[in-house]
Parts: sequence; structure tokens; C-alpha cells
Amino acid sequence: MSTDRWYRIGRGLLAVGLCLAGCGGTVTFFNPSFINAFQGGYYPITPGPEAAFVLVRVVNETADPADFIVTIERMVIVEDGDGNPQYDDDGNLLTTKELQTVRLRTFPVALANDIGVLFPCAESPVIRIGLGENLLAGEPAAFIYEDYNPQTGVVGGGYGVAAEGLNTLSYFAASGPNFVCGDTVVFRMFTSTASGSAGNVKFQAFLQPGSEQPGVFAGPSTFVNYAQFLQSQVREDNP
Amino acid sequence: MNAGLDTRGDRGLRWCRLRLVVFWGAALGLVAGCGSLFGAGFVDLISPGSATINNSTGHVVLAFVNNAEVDERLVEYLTTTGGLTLTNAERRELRPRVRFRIRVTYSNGNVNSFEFVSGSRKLIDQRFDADAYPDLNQNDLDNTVVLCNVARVELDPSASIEVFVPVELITYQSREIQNQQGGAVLVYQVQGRSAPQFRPLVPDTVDADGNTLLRANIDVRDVPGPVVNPSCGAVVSVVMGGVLRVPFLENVDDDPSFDAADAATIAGIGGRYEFTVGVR
Repeated sequence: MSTDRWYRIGRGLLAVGLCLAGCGGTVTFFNPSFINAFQGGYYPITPGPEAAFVLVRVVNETADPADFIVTIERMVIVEDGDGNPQYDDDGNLLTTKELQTVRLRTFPVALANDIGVLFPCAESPVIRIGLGENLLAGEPAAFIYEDYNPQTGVVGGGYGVAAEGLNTLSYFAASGPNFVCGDTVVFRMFTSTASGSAGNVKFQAFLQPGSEQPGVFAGPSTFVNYAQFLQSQVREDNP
Repeated sequence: MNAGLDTRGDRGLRWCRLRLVVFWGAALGLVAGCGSLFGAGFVDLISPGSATINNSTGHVVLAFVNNAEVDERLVEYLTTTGGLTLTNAERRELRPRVRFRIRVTYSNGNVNSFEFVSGSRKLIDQRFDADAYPDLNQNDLDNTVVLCNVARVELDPSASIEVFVPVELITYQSREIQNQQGGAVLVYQVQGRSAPQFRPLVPDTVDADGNTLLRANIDVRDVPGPVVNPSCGAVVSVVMGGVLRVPFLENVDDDPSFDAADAATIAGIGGRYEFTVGVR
């Protein structure tokens, strides 16, 4: 075999190696966000076991701005007037259920159409996650704005839409937990002429399990950093 | 001889084309990674029942921590005259109810803004519950998670930082009259009342040299400034300290009140605060 041919084979192997690096390796000379979106491993996309949060993201893929009405239900420890936890006669910790609702505004353009919120789940476990203020079927899951000025970002009147066919996610689902602490839940709203609902929109829920992402990242560990920041803010009189 | 040279040239051309194809294939693989070959859109197309969603590009966490307190005199007034019932634990954790809008500008020029709301819900007039939008008694938002890449995080220029003043404020008009001995005496008359409501916090008024002309709610150096180009994966925090305070017009009224002519007192209604912006 001539030397020239060996050169060609070597160059070919190099090209294949580069291709494999693109598929499986960590390539730092491209935008890390870009790499993260396609193969992950650079930034965390879910809190994971190291950070006790549930991340709820909402993604608006319609042509209008919209407020997502995200509600969680959590177990809260019952305390007396001095803040001490209460127990029943058998020594079990007393808890009560509490709803928390946030409204997340999204716009129909890339990056501004995706926003999330972190719910702590260490001391007060999150047990249900869904859309709508009371987690009831048929109530508005999102509010879609009809009047929108893209230049000023000002939104006007609109209407509420229910999340037809989208069940509230539960930790106590019969088939096993729909999510656990450390996971990311994504609610996606998109236009579908087959939906039959107001505004022709449909909803989907996705789960990104925290247990499936790597524990070490090339970039900063966002959610662990946030947990450590919150810990640094705890006051002495409010343990 | 000539035919042999031509054959070798054709073979070289073919190798050259092949190398180009492999090179551009490798370049495409590097730029996009294998995930792009089977992205969510592609999976949706071939298998509509098993839709997936792409990994995010990474996140920036925006966090608000409300460490402000409520003035003891105001707490006393609320719990005695105001009818507010607080346990010891609630009293320890009492925080002014604060709201403000944060604007996020992404690197592609698109903008989103949202409202942080934090503080003790008990301080809100419970009658707000029925009509308010968003519902102030239920809606707490002290963090948001946005996608990379963020170009700028700042207070929304079209909105203010607002604190809820949980009591009615009585405005008095003072005027000087002469008593029977010919001396001057100040008398106060009620000029108006303002209901419990959110009030915008105002920075101090300063001159060109930075000297304070009128002390209001926030020192100009403590106003939260913008964060430019926070790196992907960062946590951008706004920490609020200070004290919620209302004036009491001494020797005139035991309820929260002030003299309409007292510009310094009026400027300070709502208390004094400082904001610290950090990136980690």
C-alpha cells in the first residue's frame, strides 16, 4: 500500500473521529448552550437529587402571549403558635395540604416563550402539580391575550382556556409517582385545530426525571447554587 | 500513458469529493450533535403519539429574597387597633408585602417581564381576596427560571418597586391660629384618608454632586441595578433589606397620620429599604 493511500485513510479516520466527537463528546469551542440543547451534560436541565426543588416549566408554542396558571399542592407541617411542629397521639407529624398558585407570562417568540419556577420540596413535599387555580378539570389553565403589541410588549384583553384531557400530575398516582422531588415538569401549550377548545389550543405535560441527568456538569450547577444561596439567606431567628 | 494519467486524475477527484462529504458531515456532527438528527420535531413527525421535548439550553435562575422587617410600632398598632391576629411565629416571620417587575432581555433581542410578589399575606387587606388579579393572597412568586442566553436583567422601567402599606393613613392640614393670649397655636384638621394600598418606593432626591436633598425610601446607591450578560447557569439574586414604617403625627392622632406640609415625612412613607443584586 502506498504512503499516499495511508495518508488518505488517516485523514478519513480523523474525519470519522471528529464526527464521533460531535455526537458523544463535549466540544467546548461551540456555544455550550447549543451543545446542552442537543446532547446535555453542560448545564443541568432539572434540579436533580442534589437540589430539593421541583422545576415547573411552561412553554408557549401558540401565536399569542399567555399566562399559565400553575398550581402545586404541598404537604405543610402543622405548627403551634410558637412555630413548633405538632404530632398526633401516636407521635406522627401532623400535616395539612396547601395550594400555591403562580402565573407565568409567556410571549410567542423564542426564549421568551419558555419560563419556569422552582418549588422547594424538602420540608414540604410537593404532591400535585397542574394547571388551573384549584387543580380542577374544566377551569382555566391559561389566559390567552388577544391584544398584543410586540413593540411595547403590552398585552390587552383575552380569554381563559381549559387544559382538556390534561390530568393533574400526582405523587400518589395509582401507577406510581408521576414526579418526584428533583424532577422537571414541562407544560406545553400549542395550536391544534383538532383540540375543539377555545382558541384551538391543546396542552401536553412532559417529565424530565432528575435521576437521569448526570451529577457532574461542565458548567455551573445552577440549582445547587440556588439552594446554597437560599441557605445563606436563612436568618438566625427564622431557622 | 495518457489514459493512465487520466484514470489517476478521476480517482483523485472522487477521493476529493468523498473527503469533502466526510468533512462536512463531521462539521455538521460537531455543530449539532447527534440529538439534532432525532430532535423533538422529527420524533413528533414519525410518531405523533410519543412526542418529546428538547433539552433546554440551560437556565438562569432569578431570585428575590425579602429580608425586610416591619416596624415594631406598626406591628403594635396592627395587633391592637388594627385587629390583626399574629402568633409568635408569624410575628417573627412578618415581612412587608412587596412587588416589582423584572424585565429579562434575551440575547436574540426578545423580552419577557414578570412580577415578583413576596411577603406576609396576613398584611394584605383580606378584602383584596375577592377581586384582585393576580390574587394577592395566594400568589407568591420569588423565583423564575429563564432560558439561556440572557443579555440583561433589570427592573422593568415602566413599573416601580411597591410595598403594601397595611393601614389607613390620615392626612392632616395644619394651620396657625392665635389663642386668647395672642400666642400662636397650631391646629390640625383632617384633610383626607388613604386606604391600605401598594405604594411605589421612591429613591432619594439628590443634587448633581450626589448630596441628598430629600430622603425618601431608597438611597440612590441601593437601587437595584441591571445585570448584563449573566453567564448561562448563573443565579441572579435581588435581596431586599429594610423596614416597613408609617408615620404617626405625635400629640394629634394615635392612628397612622402625617402633616400634609411635611414633605420629608411624606417622602418616607412606606419605610426605608436597600437592595443588593448578586450573581453567583
